[in-house]
Amino acid sequence: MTPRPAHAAAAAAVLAASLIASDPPRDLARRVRSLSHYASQALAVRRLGGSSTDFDRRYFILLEWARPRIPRDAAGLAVFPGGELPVRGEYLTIYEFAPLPTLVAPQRVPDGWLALVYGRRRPEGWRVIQELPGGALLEPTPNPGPTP
Amino acid sequence: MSLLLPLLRHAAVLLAAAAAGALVAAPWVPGGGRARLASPERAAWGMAAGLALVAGSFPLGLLVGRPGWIPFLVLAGAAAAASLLRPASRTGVSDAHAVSAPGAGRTAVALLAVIALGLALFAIRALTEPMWSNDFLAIWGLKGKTIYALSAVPRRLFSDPALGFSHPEYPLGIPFLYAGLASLAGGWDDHAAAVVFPLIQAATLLALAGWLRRRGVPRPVVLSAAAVLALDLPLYTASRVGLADIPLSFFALLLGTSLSDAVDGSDSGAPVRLALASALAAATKNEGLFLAAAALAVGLIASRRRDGSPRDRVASGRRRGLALAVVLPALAVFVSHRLWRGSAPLRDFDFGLLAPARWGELASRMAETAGQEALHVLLPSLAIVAALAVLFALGRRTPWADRLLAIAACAAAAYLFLPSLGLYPGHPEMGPLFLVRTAVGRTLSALGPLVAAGLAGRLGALVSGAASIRRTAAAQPSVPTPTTEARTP
Repeated sequence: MTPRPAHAAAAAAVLAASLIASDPPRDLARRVRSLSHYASQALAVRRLGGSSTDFDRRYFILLEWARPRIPRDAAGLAVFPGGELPVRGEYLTIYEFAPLPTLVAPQRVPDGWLALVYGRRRPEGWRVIQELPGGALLEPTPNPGPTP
Repeated sequence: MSLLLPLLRHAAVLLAAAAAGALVAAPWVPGGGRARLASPERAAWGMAAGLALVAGSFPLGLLVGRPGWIPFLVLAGAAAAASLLRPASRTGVSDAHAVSAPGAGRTAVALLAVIALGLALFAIRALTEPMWSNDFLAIWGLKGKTIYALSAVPRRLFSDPALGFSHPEYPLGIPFLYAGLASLAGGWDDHAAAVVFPLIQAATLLALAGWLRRRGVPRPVVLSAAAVLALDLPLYTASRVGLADIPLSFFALLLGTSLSDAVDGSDSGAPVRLALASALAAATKNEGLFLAAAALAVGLIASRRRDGSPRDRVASGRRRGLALAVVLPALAVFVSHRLWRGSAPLRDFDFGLLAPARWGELASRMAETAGQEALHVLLPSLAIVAALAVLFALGRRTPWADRLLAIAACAAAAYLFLPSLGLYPGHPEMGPLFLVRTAVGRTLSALGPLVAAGLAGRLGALVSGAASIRRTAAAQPSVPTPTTEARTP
């Protein structure tokens, strides 16, 4: 082999090594274990065990409990996480309930919307439709109080 | 329900779509006549056409009443009929450089093993868990799930300020692909649907290898390029699954290769391939529209330079055909989106900075951006950039491959400049830094396949010892004559 092709082969090897080093597959064993553990589980359980819920898995459990219990004619859902929710938590919340219009901790709940509260707080002026693990699904009373 | 059955169902839908796509693509993809449907290039274009059919069948289904298999079959049948009516594209093909050096067989086996390793690694990463990246949940998945569940494209996706984070200005190709896939596979499953990403990776490698072989690049170089690309972990990584970057990287490669073929008039099908690639790129991301514009500029300049005589009728006819093949599909996608969603300005940018009165501010932002990019993008990938520069310098000037690098260079320059216009109201890292940290590396990584093909073309000339390897004879784009290409020894 003449020097230039040999140099090119060496540069290609360096490139491949650098690409691998940029995101080394150290996670491979963990991923295989995770896949074999969760593959037989339901989709929601697989998401529960995944990266998108690692900020607070109990919060996701509440979302999953609430989802099938929201009346089909609900106009929208305001979710009150009760504390600081990371941006990805907001995205996950809105994605989970899609296509239902969903807001996270809005200043004001639009008329006709339901509320989902994470935690023990049960605000006045809102009636509990259903207690759920980690929170409750609420609807406004005829004269609702302040935002939950 | 467990993962396995939905995964198999989604994979089967995508492979069926790819098979239908291969039938559609057969007349306009070189590869030895209609009977040979399974060449690497045809398989890759089949996947591209199949993705277009899946995505396109959903809005068609909305128009006729119900998305699902019927609109898919109608669309696939119509596309196949239209495609089969035209004469098959023919070229002198490939395998011009059979490797006979001692040990070449073992090298090929080793490189194929590396490719298989890259495919397996990405498949495991893609399928470990339901798609989870922020941009999947906030943009691509949210729109796809909403559109699928409602069997409609609700106005609020574009008009509700509360959904501004989902980027109403982005094209709908990927959401339609997710919705179409769900409607064909029998339900929304954001874990099983991730199988589309490893399949796109495989199709990208096939497109790369098939095109390089057709261009006469020696097999060891082709396999090396595919092996390095298979290990392009900045692109084929778990956090890119669900996003538009991997599909765009595939379509960008198809855009570059078909543009280069169209410039050379390599075969009568090149303009059709170019048109499909242009439409797919524009429908995937706004960067795709820019890539199409860059391809148009590169194609026009390349065809001008090569022919030398602007008055030459064949050359000007080819340039006109090339321009139409790039512009019309991209424009059709852009206009249809515009009609569907209305005007939606790019959310993250302040284009007012381009006004002469603000050039001073722009200059200081560019300096800040360059510094941040040096720190956050260049420095962590210094070895990669250096290796790419060495490979470029070692290769030989090869016009048909250099065009791909020119398109990639245009895109890279734009991606590096755009954060200077960055605007992110209310964000703690408002301005360029946010875009530098979150977008530049990701968008640059989508140029990987284009760069791999371009560099492999240049290195192929080096290894084969002939700078002029495989300059496909200048057949008329509209006349399907077989080319008579000189085979280099």
